[in-house]
Amino acid sequence: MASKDQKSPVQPPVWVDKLLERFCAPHLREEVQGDLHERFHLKVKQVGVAKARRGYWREVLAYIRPSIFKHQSSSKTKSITIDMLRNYLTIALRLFVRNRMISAINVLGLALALAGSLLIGMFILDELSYDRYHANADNIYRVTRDFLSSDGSVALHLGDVAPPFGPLLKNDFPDIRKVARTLESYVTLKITDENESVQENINTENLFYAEPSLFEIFSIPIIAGDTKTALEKPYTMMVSEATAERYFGTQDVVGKRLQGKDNYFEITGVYETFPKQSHWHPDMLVAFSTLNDEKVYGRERLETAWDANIFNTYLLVNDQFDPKRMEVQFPAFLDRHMGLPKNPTVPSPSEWTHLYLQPLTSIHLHSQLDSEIEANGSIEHVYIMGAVGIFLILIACFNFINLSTARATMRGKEVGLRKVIGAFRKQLIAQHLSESVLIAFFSFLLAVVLITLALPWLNDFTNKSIQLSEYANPAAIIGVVGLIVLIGIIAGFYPAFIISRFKPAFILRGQGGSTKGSGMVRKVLVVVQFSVSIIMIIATLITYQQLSFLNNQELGYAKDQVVLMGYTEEIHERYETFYHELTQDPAILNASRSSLVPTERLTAYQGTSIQQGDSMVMTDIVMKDVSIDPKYFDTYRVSLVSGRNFSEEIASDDSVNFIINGAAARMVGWSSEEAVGKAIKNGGTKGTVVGVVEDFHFESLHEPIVPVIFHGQRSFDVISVLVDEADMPDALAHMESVWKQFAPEYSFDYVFLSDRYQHLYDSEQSQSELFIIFAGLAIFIAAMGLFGLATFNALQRTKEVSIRKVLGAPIGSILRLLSKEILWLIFIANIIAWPIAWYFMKEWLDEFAYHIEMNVFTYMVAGALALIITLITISSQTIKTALTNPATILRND
Amino acid sequence: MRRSDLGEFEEVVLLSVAVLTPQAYSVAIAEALEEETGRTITTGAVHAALQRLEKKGFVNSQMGEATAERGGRRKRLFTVTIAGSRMLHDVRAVRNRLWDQIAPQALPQINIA
Repeated sequence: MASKDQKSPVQPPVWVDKLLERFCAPHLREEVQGDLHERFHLKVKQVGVAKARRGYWREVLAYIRPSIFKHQSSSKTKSITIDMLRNYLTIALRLFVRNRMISAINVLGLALALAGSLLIGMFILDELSYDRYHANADNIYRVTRDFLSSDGSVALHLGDVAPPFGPLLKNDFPDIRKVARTLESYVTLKITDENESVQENINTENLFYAEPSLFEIFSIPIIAGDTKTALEKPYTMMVSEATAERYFGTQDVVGKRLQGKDNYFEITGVYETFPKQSHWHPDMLVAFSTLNDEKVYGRERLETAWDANIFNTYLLVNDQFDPKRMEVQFPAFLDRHMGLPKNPTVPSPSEWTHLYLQPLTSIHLHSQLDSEIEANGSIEHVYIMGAVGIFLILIACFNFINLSTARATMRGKEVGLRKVIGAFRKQLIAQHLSESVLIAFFSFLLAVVLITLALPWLNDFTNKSIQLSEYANPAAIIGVVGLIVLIGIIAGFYPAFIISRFKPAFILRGQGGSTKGSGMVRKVLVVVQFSVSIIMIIATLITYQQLSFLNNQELGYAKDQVVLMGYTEEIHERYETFYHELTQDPAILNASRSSLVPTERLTAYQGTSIQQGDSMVMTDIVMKDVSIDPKYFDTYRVSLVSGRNFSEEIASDDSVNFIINGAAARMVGWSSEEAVGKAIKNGGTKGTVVGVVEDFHFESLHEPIVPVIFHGQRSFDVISVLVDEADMPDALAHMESVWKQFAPEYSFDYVFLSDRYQHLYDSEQSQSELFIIFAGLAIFIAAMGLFGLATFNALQRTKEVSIRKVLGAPIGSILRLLSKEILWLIFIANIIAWPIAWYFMKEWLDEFAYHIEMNVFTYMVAGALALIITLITISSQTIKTALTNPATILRND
Repeated sequence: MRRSDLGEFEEVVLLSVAVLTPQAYSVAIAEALEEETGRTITTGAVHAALQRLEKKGFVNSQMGEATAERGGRRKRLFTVTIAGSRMLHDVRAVRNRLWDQIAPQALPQINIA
């Protein structure tokens, strides 16, 4: 090694020299580098190569200080820099004022885009913040359960599970620190005075039974009461602040008692009302121990009811928890506790049902299970809105880029002069960038005003309560300022690059700055802008078409005439009289009871066996289970295809006789006629098919028509009333009076089935309306840019137009000349937009089992719309130019 | 000119310049100081001190000759100015006066080899 060193003297690392050349002030470079090299060679001699190398970085580091970086002349130019900045600002403001129209387009366009995308940003942030406010948010999971058909497909996936699972999971898995179960339930609760006379009924729509451990899992701030003991004893309950205020007008309600059916419930605490950003909003929490009472639910059922999948089960786990590792142990867990069947041909529990863990924070956006406490948001919606927000900003930035490069020629002289007096290219770029950042800031100020105006609308629309003040924190402000600067730089970079490239000699000689290269870029940007706009127009049109299709689709049942009301025990006991009284009024055509009504999800199913030859065979066909009375099909005006309807006269109709729908018969392989008389077993009940009913769209049109089995076993929850539409007020009044007569203790609530139906498509509806607004905004901004561009274009070509006119060109040909290029661009934009729109809209439509077929006409309408908007936008300018008297233009030449 | 204008490190660097003149430049000074103090002294630190001294007017500099070890680059040679000289003398005078005022036995005894 030593000999090698002597042959070629060791050199210090090369990268250091490179680094120094970059950073070291030129006048110091020679001595510093020399010193370093000499020292290095000395060290090599003293301590050897290795140590010298290792010590070298210390030597270099010692040079890292301002006096080394600072260029010699810097101290002299400091005052000039400030003067220059002032000059930049003056010029920027003068230009801003002189080109009022272009400046207005830039600022207004950017402001609109910023307002739109910031609103979208606020919406998205709000959507993403669901359930994150809990201190343990990342360690909370919800247990979900699915059921498989025997072909292995998922028949049902529920967000709530059977009651025994919670405690058993806690017992079997040490990683689980806490478990809490909740059960949403209606409870009869009344406020009574001393004489036990009812003052007010309490709406228990959002009442949950809950285990006390809930407070250790979730972060629920308490206003009164002790979370450790408040929900311990049966028949105790806590209420939310809002509920306390609503019914008592005060938060001081601890100790008050509410009258239940058999017992009094004592209020033992008040908690802060859940924030909007939560996947559930309980008004009241009742002690879970109440359920041990046989009259309410029963202790034994809590431990054994494997099929009562109505309990939301939340887990709090350790920090280093891996849900996947636990999920693989679930099949064994299920078989261990639910018990293996004695008959080996019957599948074990783990073969037909699974448990899953769902992170709390993913419930709102990622969970669309068959049972959810409230309607959740959707991550696709968030993505779409995010994309729209980015497009808005881009379109406005493109305007800025286009207009700045277009008018760059006008600033040729300024740039040329600056260059002649010694401006560096970097300085020119900095000047133009700071101009665009300035414009971005102006726009932002305007955008804040727009946001303030539009926020109530957004809140109303998305059912949120976003406040602008939520964003008055350093992080948000830094973020927004960063965004503004970024937008300024994106918008200003290309124009700055173009402008600073001008050769002063050419410009000052009067040849103008060449923006030849930028012409192409400008065209591309216009095409992109309009492609995006056209895509949004198409999306809007197709969403709209699909929605009107959904509203006008023949559903197979009478949707518009049905009014729904509740079913109480009092009515159950005297239903025949009730029915008789109700149908007295001629405005009421019919009424029936059922467990479910159309528009609800079909979730219940018990497992079906069918007759094949002489034996009963368990089938893998999932037949959803609905309990109805004999008037049901008449009320909904659904007719039977074969067999007969249920009848009050036939006793077995409320036990062992079944009616199936056409889909069920088809799936089994029976014709409608064959099906009648066949033996069928639904859950534990063996019986006969007595009729086949016509297919109708029970669920939303997102879903195909599934096999359904109707039976008459009395478990009803709702009364459907068929009314004469012409006599609606009369009918409702009569319904109310009958209700008061039979169930005076309850308030009379009714719902129109058609309203429920509308709600099925709420998310599509709001999506389409948002789309219309933002598509409109995007097109408006793009059109503004086009207007500026057309104005500029016309201005540039006034002389050409004048000469053409002098030589005899007709007005028509001049208009064509001026519009041709832009129209060509719109045409290209259509070509690009159509396939993209087609792809995304097909994806979207495929989410519906029943959807429209897209047709070319829609696309052509969108294209034509873009074309018309373009023509209108540019026409005022082109016509003005075409009509100018050539004499006024050419006189001076 | 106030005395505080001369830091301790600057003082020894200035003294080294005086010692090494006419061949006083950062590497030589760093080497000399390393030898005298036994601490590691980087040329960067010396260079910084020299820049400060020059700014304060205690040293002058001009470019010297190039050598092979320096890769053919010239070195910057420093000499003490009159102001520098006066500063060194002032500092020394203050020290001497203080030493003279120390009473016998006032300092704990140490063995000076």
